[in-house]
Amino acid sequence: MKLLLKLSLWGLAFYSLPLQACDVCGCGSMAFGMGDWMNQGRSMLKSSYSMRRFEGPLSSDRFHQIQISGIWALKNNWQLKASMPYVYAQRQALESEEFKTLNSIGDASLSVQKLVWSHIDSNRMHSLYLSAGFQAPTGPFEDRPIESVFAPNFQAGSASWDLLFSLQYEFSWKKYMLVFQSAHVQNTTNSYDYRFGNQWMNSLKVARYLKINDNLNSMLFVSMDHEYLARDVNKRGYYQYGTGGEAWFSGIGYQIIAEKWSLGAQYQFRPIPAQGEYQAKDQFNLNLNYFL
Amino acid sequence: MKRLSFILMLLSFWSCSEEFAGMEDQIAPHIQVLLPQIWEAQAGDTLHFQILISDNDQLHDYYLGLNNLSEMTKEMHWSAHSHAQAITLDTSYVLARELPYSHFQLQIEASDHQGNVIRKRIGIFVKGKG
Repeated sequence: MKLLLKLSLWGLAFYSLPLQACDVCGCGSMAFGMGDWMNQGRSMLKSSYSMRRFEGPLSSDRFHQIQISGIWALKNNWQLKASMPYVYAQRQALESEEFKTLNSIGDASLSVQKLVWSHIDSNRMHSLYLSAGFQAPTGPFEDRPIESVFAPNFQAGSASWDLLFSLQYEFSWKKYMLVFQSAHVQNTTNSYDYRFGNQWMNSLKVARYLKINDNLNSMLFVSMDHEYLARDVNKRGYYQYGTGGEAWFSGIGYQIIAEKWSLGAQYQFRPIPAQGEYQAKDQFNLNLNYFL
Repeated sequence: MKRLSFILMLLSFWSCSEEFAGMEDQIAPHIQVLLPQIWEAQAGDTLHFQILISDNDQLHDYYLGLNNLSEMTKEMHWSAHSHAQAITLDTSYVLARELPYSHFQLQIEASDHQGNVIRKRIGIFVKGKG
Protein backbone atom coordinates (compact mmCIF):
# COMPACT_ATOMS: atom_id res chain seq x y z
CA MET A 1 0.00 0.00 0.00
CA LYS A 2 2.84 2.35 0.81
CA LEU A 3 4.38 1.56 -2.52
CA LEU A 4 1.12 2.40 -4.31
CA LEU A 5 0.89 5.62 -2.37
CA LYS A 6 4.42 6.56 -3.27
CA LEU A 7 3.86 5.63 -6.89
CA SER A 8 0.76 7.78 -7.16
CA LEU A 9 2.43 10.66 -5.38
CA TRP A 10 5.49 10.22 -7.54
CA GLY A 11 3.39 10.16 -10.68
CA LEU A 12 1.49 13.27 -9.84
CA ALA A 13 4.57 14.96 -8.62
CA PHE A 14 6.00 14.93 -12.09
CA TYR A 15 3.04 16.57 -13.59
CA SER A 16 3.57 20.28 -14.01
CA LEU A 17 0.02 21.43 -14.49
CA PRO A 18 -1.06 23.19 -11.35
CA LEU A 19 -0.38 26.81 -11.88
CA GLN A 20 -0.05 27.11 -15.55
CA ALA A 21 -2.94 29.54 -15.37
CA CYS A 22 -0.28 31.76 -13.91
CA ASP A 23 2.31 30.78 -16.43
CA VAL A 24 0.97 33.03 -19.12
CA CYS A 25 -1.03 35.98 -17.97
CA GLY A 26 -1.15 37.97 -21.12
CA CYS A 27 1.51 40.34 -20.07
CA GLY A 28 5.14 40.38 -19.20
CA SER A 29 4.68 39.38 -15.59
CA MET A 30 4.43 35.67 -16.10
CA ALA A 31 4.86 33.41 -13.16
CA PHE A 32 6.91 30.80 -14.86
CA GLY A 33 7.46 27.61 -13.05
CA MET A 34 5.68 28.39 -9.85
CA GLY A 35 3.90 25.66 -8.03
CA ASP A 36 5.06 22.63 -9.93
CA TRP A 37 4.35 19.34 -8.38
CA MET A 38 7.87 18.67 -7.47
CA ASN A 39 9.52 15.37 -7.89
CA GLN A 40 10.11 14.17 -4.38
CA GLY A 41 13.81 14.67 -4.46
CA ARG A 42 14.64 13.62 -8.01
CA SER A 43 16.20 15.77 -10.69
CA MET A 44 14.48 16.18 -14.02
CA LEU A 45 14.15 18.09 -17.25
CA LYS A 46 10.73 19.43 -18.16
CA SER A 47 9.20 20.80 -21.29
CA SER A 48 5.70 22.16 -21.49
CA TYR A 49 3.40 23.86 -23.93
CA SER A 50 0.54 26.15 -22.84
CA MET A 51 -2.12 27.88 -24.86
CA ARG A 52 -4.16 30.66 -23.30
CA ARG A 53 -6.62 33.23 -24.59
CA PHE A 54 -7.70 36.55 -23.09
CA GLU A 55 -10.20 39.15 -24.09
CA GLY A 56 -9.96 42.81 -23.17
CA PRO A 57 -12.16 45.79 -24.05
CA LEU A 58 -9.97 46.68 -27.05
CA SER A 59 -8.29 43.46 -28.05
CA SER A 60 -8.27 39.70 -28.13
CA ASP A 61 -5.01 37.93 -27.19
CA ARG A 62 -3.76 34.44 -27.82
CA PHE A 63 -0.61 33.16 -26.12
CA HIS A 64 1.43 30.07 -26.96
CA GLN A 65 4.27 29.31 -24.64
CA ILE A 66 6.94 26.65 -24.61
CA GLN A 67 8.92 26.36 -21.43
CA ILE A 68 12.04 24.36 -20.69
CA SER A 69 12.86 23.76 -17.05
CA GLY A 70 15.46 21.95 -15.06
CA ILE A 71 14.92 20.76 -11.50
CA TRP A 72 17.83 19.71 -9.36
CA ALA A 73 17.51 17.86 -6.09
CA LEU A 74 19.68 19.27 -3.33
CA LYS A 75 20.36 18.08 0.18
CA ASN A 76 17.90 18.24 3.08
CA ASN A 77 14.72 18.26 0.96
CA TRP A 78 15.70 21.36 -0.98
CA GLN A 79 15.22 21.66 -4.72
CA LEU A 80 16.39 24.23 -7.22
CA LYS A 81 14.45 25.06 -10.34
CA ALA A 82 15.38 27.14 -13.38
CA SER A 83 12.98 27.88 -16.25
CA MET A 84 13.21 29.59 -19.58
CA PRO A 85 10.04 30.25 -21.57
CA TYR A 86 9.57 31.05 -25.22
CA VAL A 87 6.48 33.06 -26.10
CA TYR A 88 4.56 33.37 -29.32
CA ALA A 89 1.53 35.62 -28.93
CA GLN A 90 -0.83 37.60 -31.09
CA ARG A 91 -3.05 40.54 -30.17
CA GLN A 92 -5.95 41.34 -32.46
CA ALA A 93 -7.44 44.82 -32.15
CA LEU A 94 -11.23 44.58 -31.89
CA GLU A 95 -11.91 47.94 -33.52
CA SER A 96 -9.68 47.43 -36.54
CA GLU A 97 -7.93 44.77 -38.58
CA GLU A 98 -4.61 45.54 -36.91
CA PHE A 99 -2.70 42.88 -35.05
CA LYS A 100 0.63 42.57 -33.30
CA THR A 101 2.79 39.52 -32.76
CA LEU A 102 5.29 38.67 -30.03
CA ASN A 103 7.84 36.02 -30.81
CA SER A 104 10.73 35.76 -28.37
CA ILE A 105 12.04 34.36 -25.13
CA GLY A 106 10.21 35.43 -21.98
CA ASP A 107 11.44 36.09 -18.46
CA ALA A 108 13.65 33.39 -16.99
CA SER A 109 13.05 32.33 -13.41
CA LEU A 110 14.98 30.69 -10.63
CA SER A 111 13.40 29.32 -7.46
CA VAL A 112 14.05 27.05 -4.54
CA GLN A 113 11.56 24.75 -2.87
CA LYS A 114 11.70 22.93 0.41
CA LEU A 115 9.67 20.12 1.86
CA VAL A 116 9.00 21.67 5.25
CA TRP A 117 6.75 19.00 6.68
CA SER A 118 5.67 15.48 5.86
CA HIS A 119 3.90 12.69 7.62
CA ILE A 120 3.36 9.12 6.50
CA ASP A 121 1.30 6.43 8.19
CA SER A 122 -0.16 3.15 6.97
CA ASN A 123 -2.20 4.53 4.06
CA ARG A 124 -1.98 8.30 4.25
CA MET A 125 0.68 10.79 3.33
CA HIS A 126 0.85 14.52 4.00
CA SER A 127 3.43 16.91 2.59
CA LEU A 128 3.86 20.65 2.75
CA TYR A 129 6.20 22.56 0.47
CA LEU A 130 7.21 26.19 0.41
CA SER A 131 8.86 27.84 -2.52
CA ALA A 132 10.40 31.21 -3.29
CA GLY A 133 12.28 32.63 -6.20
CA PHE A 134 12.58 35.44 -8.65
CA GLN A 135 11.99 36.21 -12.28
CA ALA A 136 14.68 38.01 -14.25
CA PRO A 137 13.94 40.51 -17.06
CA THR A 138 15.34 38.41 -19.90
CA GLY A 139 12.37 38.90 -22.22
CA PRO A 140 12.03 42.02 -24.38
CA PHE A 141 9.82 44.91 -23.33
CA GLU A 142 8.69 47.55 -25.85
CA ASP A 143 7.96 50.96 -24.41
CA ARG A 144 4.74 51.56 -26.35
CA PRO A 145 2.29 54.44 -25.79
CA ILE A 146 -0.21 53.91 -23.00
CA GLU A 147 -3.08 54.84 -25.30
CA SER A 148 -2.08 52.34 -27.98
CA VAL A 149 -4.31 49.33 -28.64
CA PHE A 150 -1.05 47.44 -28.28
CA ALA A 151 -0.55 48.97 -24.86
CA PRO A 152 2.46 48.19 -22.66
CA ASN A 153 0.66 45.27 -21.02
CA PHE A 154 1.17 43.09 -24.12
CA GLN A 155 4.79 41.99 -23.79
CA ALA A 156 6.99 38.93 -23.75
CA GLY A 157 9.03 40.30 -20.87
CA SER A 158 8.24 42.46 -17.87
CA ALA A 159 11.58 44.34 -17.76
CA SER A 160 11.40 44.03 -13.99
CA TRP A 161 12.77 41.76 -11.29
CA ASP A 162 9.79 40.00 -9.79
CA LEU A 163 9.36 37.77 -6.77
CA LEU A 164 7.71 34.36 -6.78
CA PHE A 165 6.21 32.57 -3.80
CA SER A 166 4.20 29.39 -3.50
CA LEU A 167 2.81 26.99 -0.98
CA GLN A 168 1.72 23.44 -1.71
CA TYR A 169 -0.03 20.87 0.42
CA GLU A 170 -0.46 17.27 -0.72
CA PHE A 171 -2.56 14.57 0.84
CA SER A 172 -2.78 11.05 -0.51
CA TRP A 173 -5.00 8.22 0.59
CA LYS A 174 -5.19 4.81 -1.06
CA LYS A 175 -5.51 5.49 -4.80
CA TYR A 176 -6.47 9.13 -4.38
CA MET A 177 -4.58 12.31 -4.00
CA LEU A 178 -5.55 15.85 -3.12
CA VAL A 179 -3.29 18.81 -3.81
CA PHE A 180 -3.81 22.42 -2.81
CA GLN A 181 -1.52 25.09 -4.16
CA SER A 182 -1.34 28.78 -3.66
CA ALA A 183 1.07 31.03 -5.52
CA HIS A 184 1.81 34.70 -5.63
CA VAL A 185 3.83 36.85 -8.01
CA GLN A 186 4.96 40.18 -6.67
CA ASN A 187 5.84 42.42 -9.58
CA THR A 188 7.99 45.49 -9.30
CA THR A 189 8.07 48.71 -11.33
CA ASN A 190 10.35 48.39 -14.32
CA SER A 191 12.80 50.91 -15.73
CA TYR A 192 10.06 52.27 -18.02
CA ASP A 193 7.93 53.16 -14.97
CA TYR A 194 5.41 50.47 -15.83
CA ARG A 195 4.37 47.87 -13.31
CA PHE A 196 2.51 44.69 -14.16
CA GLY A 197 -0.19 43.71 -11.71
CA ASN A 198 0.56 41.15 -9.04
CA GLN A 199 -0.90 37.70 -9.46
CA TRP A 200 -2.59 35.30 -7.06
CA MET A 201 -3.39 31.73 -7.91
CA ASN A 202 -5.13 29.04 -5.90
CA SER A 203 -5.63 25.53 -7.12
CA LEU A 204 -7.29 22.41 -5.77
CA LYS A 205 -6.88 19.07 -7.50
CA VAL A 206 -8.19 15.60 -6.88
CA ALA A 207 -6.50 12.73 -8.68
CA ARG A 208 -6.93 8.99 -8.97
CA TYR A 209 -4.16 6.56 -9.70
CA LEU A 210 -4.83 4.13 -12.60
CA LYS A 211 -2.39 1.36 -13.37
CA ILE A 212 -1.92 0.54 -17.07
CA ASN A 213 0.64 -2.28 -16.78
CA ASP A 214 3.80 -3.11 -14.86
CA ASN A 215 5.78 -0.46 -16.73
CA LEU A 216 3.19 2.26 -17.15
CA ASN A 217 1.09 4.12 -14.64
CA SER A 218 -1.36 6.91 -15.13
CA MET A 219 -3.31 9.57 -13.29
CA LEU A 220 -6.72 11.04 -14.00
CA PHE A 221 -7.50 14.27 -12.21
CA VAL A 222 -10.01 17.07 -11.95
CA SER A 223 -9.22 20.56 -10.77
CA MET A 224 -10.71 23.81 -9.60
CA ASP A 225 -8.56 26.91 -9.93
CA HIS A 226 -8.94 30.56 -9.13
CA GLU A 227 -6.78 33.22 -10.69
CA TYR A 228 -6.59 36.89 -9.83
CA LEU A 229 -4.54 39.32 -11.88
CA ALA A 230 -4.27 42.79 -10.37
CA ARG A 231 -4.32 45.78 -12.69
CA ASP A 232 -1.13 47.17 -14.13
CA VAL A 233 0.07 50.63 -13.18
CA ASN A 234 1.20 52.82 -16.06
CA LYS A 235 3.91 55.46 -16.12
CA ARG A 236 1.39 58.19 -15.24
CA GLY A 237 0.65 56.36 -12.02
CA TYR A 238 -2.86 55.27 -13.00
CA TYR A 239 -4.19 51.76 -13.39
CA GLN A 240 -3.76 50.76 -17.01
CA TYR A 241 -7.02 50.41 -18.91
CA GLY A 242 -7.69 46.88 -20.13
CA THR A 243 -5.73 45.08 -17.42
CA GLY A 244 -6.72 43.11 -14.33
CA GLY A 245 -9.07 40.19 -14.18
CA GLU A 246 -10.33 37.28 -12.19
CA ALA A 247 -11.43 33.84 -13.27
CA TRP A 248 -12.45 30.43 -11.98
CA PHE A 249 -11.45 27.35 -13.93
CA SER A 250 -12.59 23.78 -13.85
CA GLY A 251 -10.23 21.31 -15.41
CA ILE A 252 -9.65 17.73 -16.34
CA GLY A 253 -6.34 16.10 -17.10
CA TYR A 254 -4.56 12.84 -17.66
CA GLN A 255 -0.97 11.78 -17.35
CA ILE A 256 0.99 8.68 -18.32
CA ILE A 257 4.09 7.90 -16.30
CA ALA A 258 6.93 5.57 -17.21
CA GLU A 259 10.17 4.98 -15.36
CA LYS A 260 12.16 7.68 -17.21
CA TRP A 261 9.49 9.94 -18.62
CA SER A 262 5.95 11.20 -18.23
CA LEU A 263 3.48 12.78 -20.64
CA GLY A 264 0.42 14.72 -19.55
CA ALA A 265 -2.30 17.03 -20.80
CA GLN A 266 -4.92 19.22 -19.17
CA TYR A 267 -7.84 21.27 -20.42
CA GLN A 268 -9.36 24.02 -18.29
CA PHE A 269 -12.62 25.83 -18.88
CA ARG A 270 -14.54 28.53 -17.06
CA PRO A 271 -17.72 27.37 -15.30
CA ILE A 272 -18.73 31.00 -14.74
CA PRO A 273 -17.81 34.11 -16.74
CA ALA A 274 -14.56 35.82 -15.86
CA GLN A 275 -14.53 39.24 -14.22
CA GLY A 276 -12.47 42.35 -14.87
CA GLU A 277 -11.13 44.16 -17.90
CA TYR A 278 -8.80 41.38 -19.01
CA GLN A 279 -10.75 38.14 -19.06
CA ALA A 280 -9.21 34.71 -19.34
CA LYS A 281 -10.71 32.13 -21.68
CA ASP A 282 -10.30 28.36 -21.80
CA GLN A 283 -6.74 27.06 -21.71
CA PHE A 284 -4.77 23.98 -22.59
CA ASN A 285 -1.51 22.52 -21.35
CA LEU A 286 0.72 19.69 -22.53
CA ASN A 287 3.94 18.54 -20.91
CA LEU A 288 6.71 16.04 -21.32
CA ASN A 289 9.19 15.29 -18.56
CA TYR A 290 12.42 13.35 -18.51
CA PHE A 291 13.79 12.08 -15.22
CA LEU A 292 17.52 12.28 -14.67
CA MET B 1 8.64 27.68 15.88
CA LYS B 2 10.90 29.26 13.29
CA ARG B 3 9.17 27.20 10.60
CA LEU B 4 5.73 28.24 11.84
CA SER B 5 6.73 31.90 11.82
CA PHE B 6 7.91 31.58 8.27
CA ILE B 7 4.64 29.97 7.19
CA LEU B 8 2.59 32.64 8.95
CA MET B 9 4.66 35.36 7.38
CA LEU B 10 4.10 33.84 3.98
CA LEU B 11 0.36 33.48 4.55
CA SER B 12 0.04 37.07 5.70
CA PHE B 13 1.85 38.17 2.60
CA TRP B 14 -0.64 36.14 0.57
CA SER B 15 -3.65 37.75 2.12
CA CYS B 16 -2.44 41.20 1.10
CA SER B 17 -4.32 41.41 -2.15
CA GLU B 18 -4.70 45.16 -2.20
CA GLU B 19 -3.58 46.83 -5.39
CA PHE B 20 -1.25 49.39 -3.92
CA ALA B 21 0.72 52.10 -5.69
CA GLY B 22 -1.76 52.70 -8.51
CA MET B 23 -4.21 55.62 -8.62
CA GLU B 24 -7.85 55.41 -9.56
CA ASP B 25 -8.60 58.01 -12.20
CA GLN B 26 -11.39 60.12 -10.72
CA ILE B 27 -10.69 63.27 -12.67
CA ALA B 28 -12.85 64.11 -15.67
CA PRO B 29 -11.29 65.27 -18.92
CA HIS B 30 -10.66 68.97 -19.46
CA ILE B 31 -12.24 71.00 -22.26
CA GLN B 32 -10.56 74.17 -23.45
CA VAL B 33 -12.16 76.22 -26.21
CA LEU B 34 -9.38 77.89 -28.19
CA LEU B 35 -11.69 79.34 -30.87
CA PRO B 36 -13.91 81.25 -31.18
CA GLN B 37 -12.99 83.84 -28.58
CA ILE B 38 -16.07 85.98 -29.20
CA TRP B 39 -19.45 84.32 -28.85
CA GLU B 40 -21.31 86.63 -31.21
CA ALA B 41 -21.55 86.35 -34.97
CA GLN B 42 -23.36 87.77 -37.98
CA ALA B 43 -25.53 85.77 -40.34
CA GLY B 44 -23.27 84.64 -43.17
CA ASP B 45 -20.18 84.38 -40.94
CA THR B 46 -18.11 81.27 -40.60
CA LEU B 47 -17.82 79.95 -37.06
CA HIS B 48 -14.38 78.43 -36.56
CA PHE B 49 -14.20 75.99 -33.66
CA GLN B 50 -10.92 74.83 -32.21
CA ILE B 51 -11.28 72.81 -29.04
CA LEU B 52 -8.64 71.07 -26.98
CA ILE B 53 -9.85 68.03 -25.02
CA SER B 54 -7.37 66.44 -22.64
CA ASP B 55 -7.32 63.93 -19.83
CA ASN B 56 -4.93 63.17 -17.02
CA ASP B 57 -4.66 59.58 -18.31
CA GLN B 58 -6.64 58.37 -21.32
CA LEU B 59 -9.69 59.72 -23.12
CA HIS B 60 -12.44 57.39 -24.18
CA ASP B 61 -14.83 59.30 -26.41
CA TYR B 62 -15.96 62.82 -27.17
CA TYR B 63 -18.88 64.63 -28.76
CA LEU B 64 -19.30 67.95 -30.52
CA GLY B 65 -22.71 69.38 -31.34
CA LEU B 66 -24.02 72.72 -32.59
CA ASN B 67 -27.67 73.39 -31.82
CA ASN B 68 -29.86 76.17 -33.19
CA LEU B 69 -32.00 76.78 -30.15
CA SER B 70 -34.21 79.28 -31.96
CA GLU B 71 -35.20 76.74 -34.59
CA MET B 72 -34.73 73.70 -32.33
CA THR B 73 -32.49 72.07 -34.92
CA LYS B 74 -29.18 70.29 -34.61
CA GLU B 75 -26.70 71.72 -37.11
CA MET B 76 -23.65 69.65 -36.16
CA HIS B 77 -23.59 66.24 -34.54
CA TRP B 78 -20.28 64.48 -34.32
CA SER B 79 -18.79 61.94 -31.94
CA ALA B 80 -15.63 59.89 -32.03
CA HIS B 81 -13.58 57.46 -30.01
CA SER B 82 -10.00 58.11 -28.92
CA HIS B 83 -7.59 56.64 -26.39
CA ALA B 84 -5.18 59.53 -26.63
CA GLN B 85 -4.32 61.79 -23.71
CA ALA B 86 -5.23 64.94 -25.69
CA ILE B 87 -6.89 65.79 -28.98
CA THR B 88 -7.72 69.01 -30.79
CA LEU B 89 -10.97 69.36 -32.67
CA ASP B 90 -10.77 71.80 -35.53
CA THR B 91 -13.91 72.40 -37.55
CA SER B 92 -16.11 75.19 -38.84
CA TYR B 93 -19.73 75.98 -39.59
CA VAL B 94 -21.09 78.52 -42.08
CA LEU B 95 -24.09 80.49 -40.84
CA ALA B 96 -26.74 81.02 -43.52
CA ARG B 97 -26.97 84.59 -44.89
CA GLU B 98 -30.72 84.77 -44.47
CA LEU B 99 -30.60 83.65 -40.86
CA PRO B 100 -32.75 85.75 -38.52
CA TYR B 101 -31.60 86.71 -35.01
CA SER B 102 -30.85 83.31 -33.44
CA HIS B 103 -29.49 81.62 -30.38
CA PHE B 104 -27.03 78.83 -31.05
CA GLN B 105 -25.42 76.52 -28.54
CA LEU B 106 -22.09 74.73 -28.79
CA GLN B 107 -22.27 71.40 -26.96
CA ILE B 108 -19.11 69.50 -26.05
CA GLU B 109 -18.84 66.29 -24.04
CA ALA B 110 -15.91 64.05 -23.24
CA SER B 111 -15.32 61.00 -21.10
CA ASP B 112 -12.37 58.89 -20.04
CA HIS B 113 -12.02 55.14 -19.55
CA GLN B 114 -13.10 55.29 -15.93
CA GLY B 115 -16.41 56.90 -16.82
CA ASN B 116 -15.52 60.41 -15.69
CA VAL B 117 -17.54 62.77 -17.88
CA ILE B 118 -17.40 66.49 -18.57
CA ARG B 119 -20.08 68.47 -20.41
CA LYS B 120 -19.81 72.03 -21.61
CA ARG B 121 -22.45 74.18 -23.29
CA ILE B 122 -21.75 77.66 -24.61
CA GLY B 123 -24.31 80.02 -26.09
CA ILE B 124 -23.67 81.85 -29.36
CA PHE B 125 -25.74 84.86 -30.31
CA VAL B 126 -26.16 85.38 -34.06
CA LYS B 127 -27.28 88.79 -35.35
CA GLY B 128 -29.65 88.16 -38.22
CA LYS B 129 -30.35 90.18 -41.33
CA GLY B 130 -33.87 91.02 -40.28
